[in-house]
Amino acid sequence: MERIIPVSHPTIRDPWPIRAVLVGVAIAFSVLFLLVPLFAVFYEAFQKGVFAYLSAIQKPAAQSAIQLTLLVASIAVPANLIFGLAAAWAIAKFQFPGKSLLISLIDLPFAVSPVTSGLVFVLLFGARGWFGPLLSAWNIKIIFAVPGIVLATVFVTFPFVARELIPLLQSQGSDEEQAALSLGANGWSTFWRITVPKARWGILYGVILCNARAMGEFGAVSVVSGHIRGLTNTIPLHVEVLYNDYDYVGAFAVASLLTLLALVTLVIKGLLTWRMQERAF
Amino acid sequence: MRIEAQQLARRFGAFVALDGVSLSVGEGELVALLGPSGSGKTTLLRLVAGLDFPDSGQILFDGADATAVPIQKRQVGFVFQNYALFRHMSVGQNVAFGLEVNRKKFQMTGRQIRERVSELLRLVQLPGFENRRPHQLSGGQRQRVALARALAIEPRILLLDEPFGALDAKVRKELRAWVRGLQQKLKITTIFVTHDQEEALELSDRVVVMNHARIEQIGTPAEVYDYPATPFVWEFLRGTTSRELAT
Repeated sequence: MERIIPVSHPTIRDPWPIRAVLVGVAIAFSVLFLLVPLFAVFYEAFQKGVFAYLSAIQKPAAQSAIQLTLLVASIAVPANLIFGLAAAWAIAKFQFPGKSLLISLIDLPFAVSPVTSGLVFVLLFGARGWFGPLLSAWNIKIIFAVPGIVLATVFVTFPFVARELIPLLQSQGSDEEQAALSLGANGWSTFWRITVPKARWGILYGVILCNARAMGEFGAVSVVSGHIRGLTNTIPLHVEVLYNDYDYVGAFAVASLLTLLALVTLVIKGLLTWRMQERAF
Repeated sequence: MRIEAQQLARRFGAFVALDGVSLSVGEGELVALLGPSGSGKTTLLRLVAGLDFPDSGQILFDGADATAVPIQKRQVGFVFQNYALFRHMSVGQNVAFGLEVNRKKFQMTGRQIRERVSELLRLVQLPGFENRRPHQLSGGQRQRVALARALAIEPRILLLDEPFGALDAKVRKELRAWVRGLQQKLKITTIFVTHDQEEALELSDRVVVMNHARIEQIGTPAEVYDYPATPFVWEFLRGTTSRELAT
């Protein structure tokens, strides 16, 4: 039998009062700022029972907000997936003039306040905006209508997929792509059979985050939407409307949907991070 | 297949990678490109493969101009320095890849492809490894999978970039002798890049010694060793070898 000899690590062991204080502060902070709000959302939502909760979600205005949010996400996420893949592929695999400018531009939506992003679209496509007269002549409505909401969401969620993929593709290099070419594959099948599967967890990760933001975006969408109930209200906007109407159960019931989305996103994100670490070699 | 390179030149910005290099490799020959890093040996290999294109000069395969032919059409087996195995595929899928993407050309059914893959894996002494994943293999095993994958498309020439560079000394020696045996069995024209003079002298029919984007000497191992054409060749072959022997 081997005896286990206790080893002391004097350098990494702080006295217990310090440890207790640090751990205590960390726990208190996360409970106060993360767990309590999470609990509060569901508590308020179910305050008048399950029936009130379900009927709040089933109201026509809530239903239309949910449908609009799903519609917007179903346009914005694929659009940014395609753009993100194209941009990451171009940036990681090729040298071209203006490359660093493109990288900075991709980050722009992260740096600009969402309200400003929304205002830019009003300035461009609004009734008194640059293209306003042109659009009204063609009878196209963008601002205070669904196209504006889609545009603002696409803009705000622009960086997620690209940001996730650029470093990933760069670190993976292009040897496998070259090997595929040498084996007779063309560019198209090399992209689909090698590049995309190689980066699939990273792509999914970017899509999940992009989707969460697309569904949850408030600021930019708020500016361009015009808050027309049943027409241009997404879930986050509808929550605000209900709250301002003192309909707390309704507001929190609808908000709970976004909270659930966040929880599901976190779980998937955790699983993907784990998969990516496991697969890296 | 015979390979002829005529007056190949290649620059990367201000850096001259190849400065008018000419070389001919005969049918079934095994040629080593030997030189220090930055001497242009890998650039020359990539030009022959079609992974890169020369600024001027010509490449002939069996007398036919292949300079502008893209890599997909050249039918070359290229083994990368770090093997570049497809990490998301099994060993079997890796080896089958070239046959799968060229189904029209090879006219093979799924069953025939599977048989060919297992035949190739037996050839590289990895029988039954179809379902393994690249990350489960040792360096020497990965190298042999890369070789099997390159051989699957029935290449007209085999190009190896530092094929033994990433292996430890013992595995390297074993694999070297084995690759030589395989090359003689298949009688396939082969060029490999190395910075290890012992490897070049031991393995090849002819050695091409390169330095500063030019060829210093071409000859059999005995010729370049016994009758070095330039001081550089003498220094590169003897200097380091004698230092290695001394340690």
